Amino acid sequence: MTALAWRLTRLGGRGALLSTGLTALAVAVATLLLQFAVASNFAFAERAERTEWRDPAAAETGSALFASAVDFYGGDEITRVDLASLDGDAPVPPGLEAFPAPGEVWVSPALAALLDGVPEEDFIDRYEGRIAGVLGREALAHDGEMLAVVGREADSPAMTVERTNMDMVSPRAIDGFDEGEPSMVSGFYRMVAVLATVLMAVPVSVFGAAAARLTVARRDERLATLRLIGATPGQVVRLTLIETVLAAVAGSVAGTALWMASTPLFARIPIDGGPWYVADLWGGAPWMAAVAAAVPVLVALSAVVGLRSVVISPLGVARRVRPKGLKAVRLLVFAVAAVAFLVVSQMLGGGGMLAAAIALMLFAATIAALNLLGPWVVQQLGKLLANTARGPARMLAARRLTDDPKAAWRAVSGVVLAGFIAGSVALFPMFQSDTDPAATETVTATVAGEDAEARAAEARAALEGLAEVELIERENDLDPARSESAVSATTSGADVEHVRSILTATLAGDPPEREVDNTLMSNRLVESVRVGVTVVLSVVFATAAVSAGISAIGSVLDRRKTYRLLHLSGTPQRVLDQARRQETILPLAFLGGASVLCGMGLTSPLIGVMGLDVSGVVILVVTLTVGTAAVIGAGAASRPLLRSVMNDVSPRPD
Amino acid sequence: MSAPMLTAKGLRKHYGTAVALGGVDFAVAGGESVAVTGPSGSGKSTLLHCLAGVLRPDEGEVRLFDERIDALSERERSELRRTRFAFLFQFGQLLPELPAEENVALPLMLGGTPRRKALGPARERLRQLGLAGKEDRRPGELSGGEAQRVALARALVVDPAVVFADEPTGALDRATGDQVMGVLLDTVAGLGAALVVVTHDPLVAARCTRTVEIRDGLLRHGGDLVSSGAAEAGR
Repeated sequence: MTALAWRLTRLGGRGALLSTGLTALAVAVATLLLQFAVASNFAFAERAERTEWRDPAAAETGSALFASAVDFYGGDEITRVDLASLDGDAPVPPGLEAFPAPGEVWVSPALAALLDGVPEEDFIDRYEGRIAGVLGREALAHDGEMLAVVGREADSPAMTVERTNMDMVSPRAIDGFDEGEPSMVSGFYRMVAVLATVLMAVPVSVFGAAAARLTVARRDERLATLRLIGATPGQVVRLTLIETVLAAVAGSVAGTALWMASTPLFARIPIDGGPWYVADLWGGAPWMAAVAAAVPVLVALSAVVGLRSVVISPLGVARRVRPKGLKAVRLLVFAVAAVAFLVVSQMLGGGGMLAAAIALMLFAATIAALNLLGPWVVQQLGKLLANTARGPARMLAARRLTDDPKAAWRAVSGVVLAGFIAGSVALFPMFQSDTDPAATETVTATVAGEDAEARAAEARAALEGLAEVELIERENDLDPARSESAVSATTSGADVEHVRSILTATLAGDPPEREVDNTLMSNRLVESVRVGVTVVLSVVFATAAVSAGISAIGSVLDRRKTYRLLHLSGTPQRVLDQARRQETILPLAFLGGASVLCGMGLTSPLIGVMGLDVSGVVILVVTLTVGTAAVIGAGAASRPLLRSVMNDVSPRPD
Repeated sequence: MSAPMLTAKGLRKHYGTAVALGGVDFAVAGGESVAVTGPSGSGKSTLLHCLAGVLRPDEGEVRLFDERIDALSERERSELRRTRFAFLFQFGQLLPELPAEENVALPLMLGGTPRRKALGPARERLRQLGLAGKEDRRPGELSGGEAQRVALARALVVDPAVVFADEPTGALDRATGDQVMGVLLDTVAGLGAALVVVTHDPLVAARCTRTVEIRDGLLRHGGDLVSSGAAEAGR
């Protein structure tokens, strides 16, 4: 059977090889993207795991003291780890060869580069030590990370003063770095990565069906012949499946190989302030094999489903009857799901894993219901346009939409989903982040309320003549009962890093910040989310473009006889091209536009408060424009095929 | 016989080394129906395609009234095929997703007529061909004979000068085929148009006013070899 299938493919002529090749190509692209989506999760996990040592488990009687803090220099955030040995048996932290001695500062390569040429008083003095060496990558999330590991005396203030900021670890005794907590922000990234994977995987898997359908389109006539000479429906299905699976295996292998070869390129996508180690993307290597094996199976499954709907009678005529009207109940299902999601997620508020799980399930249900709603909307749109069409192209496009709204929806669903995400996220504003020093700068450090006066006096003495020091009463946002004060120092912009160095050394605990500094973290988050959104949008659009291209080719092959005869009767190709273009553009513009607006509507209250961010608008407009152009361009790629099909008049057997 | 509408002189067409037409003269007048018969591969379809301006002959000329159509550009020939000629094929010429009336209206719409205006004559043609009440059906919901009559309605909706039919009854049973052939001959004659039918079927050929046979790219009328090109271009 396999031999026969292969022979049929090989002898099927250019057309058969074309559609088999296209199937393989589509599967290769899908596999590549799927591998990327899956690997991204492992990459985030690898990063999280590598940085867990920075929040190590506390020990009753430890061999070392551990604390961490976040320092600022200009527009950069520097994570600092303070370490002090309690006995001779202190554990060696990752990225170092020995436990750092007091006064030793080990820096990440990026920090070393940043500090190159910076006067000691402007930065390194705040650590009361000197640079002893460069940290290995085992200590780092990525090459762009700014990290300093500082060796201290066990009784130095840095090892005793509590930190109040949630991103910092207060001094604690530890006896090893093997057990630690992943940082909060890494948890956020991993959750977003799962969401992004789902968003990318959905359109990618829709691919399989389209690709399988393409093989079937080319085979209709020949399969009918096989039925005529007595092949059972089962055999016909098997023959088609073998061909499709052969193509899918080839595509899956090629896609995986392409992924392996291109990991260094994908590793350059900067998330959370830096690019990836290529090894991170290989974190899930066993899963890579699993994905490669699963893709042909998924393609085979969707081919079976696709074949079921193409009833191949021995006469080969998949007869077209009046399209089944899709029921308006689809609208109701969607409305119920969406309202349930909105109401329940409001009611649950912020509390707990269970609430999050329920909200996530309802969100998934809403997305699923959107897949029910989409074809219905496409069909309504088609009906409306068919009744108002004046010219032939619009009429043909509209009838096609009414006839097979699911196919049209498949082509645009990814873009619609992406549009919604892009609309809601891309416009999320970045905070003001001009980190260049102004003429006058004020840095503020939080201190415990009890000894605030004494600390302020120390600061005043240390900064004598350099800065104006003030003590400010402040309420702790999280814990109002806790007494807290802040010491602020006002100085000229030129001296701000010098002042910061002195203040950091003097007031151990939370390092001093400018007001603009605390936007750095959220900006990095928004920036990362935007990069992520752009990546997801690119993937979704790439998928949409390839699947638009494939379904256009499939539909040309499907109708090649009719197209040929229309050409004989004098129909210009221009009209057919127009009709085919409108078939994609009309639902794309209508549904894609609606989804972007919906997404924007969802976040507009927030944006209204914080003001519109132009860079977000630019990202949104550029991705949507490029993506739409890609989808339309891919559809247009079948024009040469249409031309050759239309002009294929002779010689042919009578 | 009135003055010919469509004339061809010395048509030659090669595919590689294979000769499809070896020098053919042909003429058909308004109100006349000509059956082109011959075995498979004899060049029937090639002749039809050359006459209809689908293919350009390697040599020779084709005229509609006095206009040379083989010399026109692809675009002009397309328009000619859409406005002056009409085509009827064995099957498969209807767009499956369009209802019957829109299939018929399509040539008018391609010519720039708005849909609402084009639907009027389309429905009228369907009614004349006995398809009243079925305007809204899709091709898949029609019988073979009905679908062929819809195709005929579409062919005639532009009031063509010449109708080309390629095995128009090939996919139909004898009774339905007879019926469709009768409607075809009657309506074309009623329009005063010329009809060229390519067929295998001697019964179809017998109903036409004239029959020509093509063999190995050369035309015979009632057994006589007639070829303007054969004498001088035999080598």
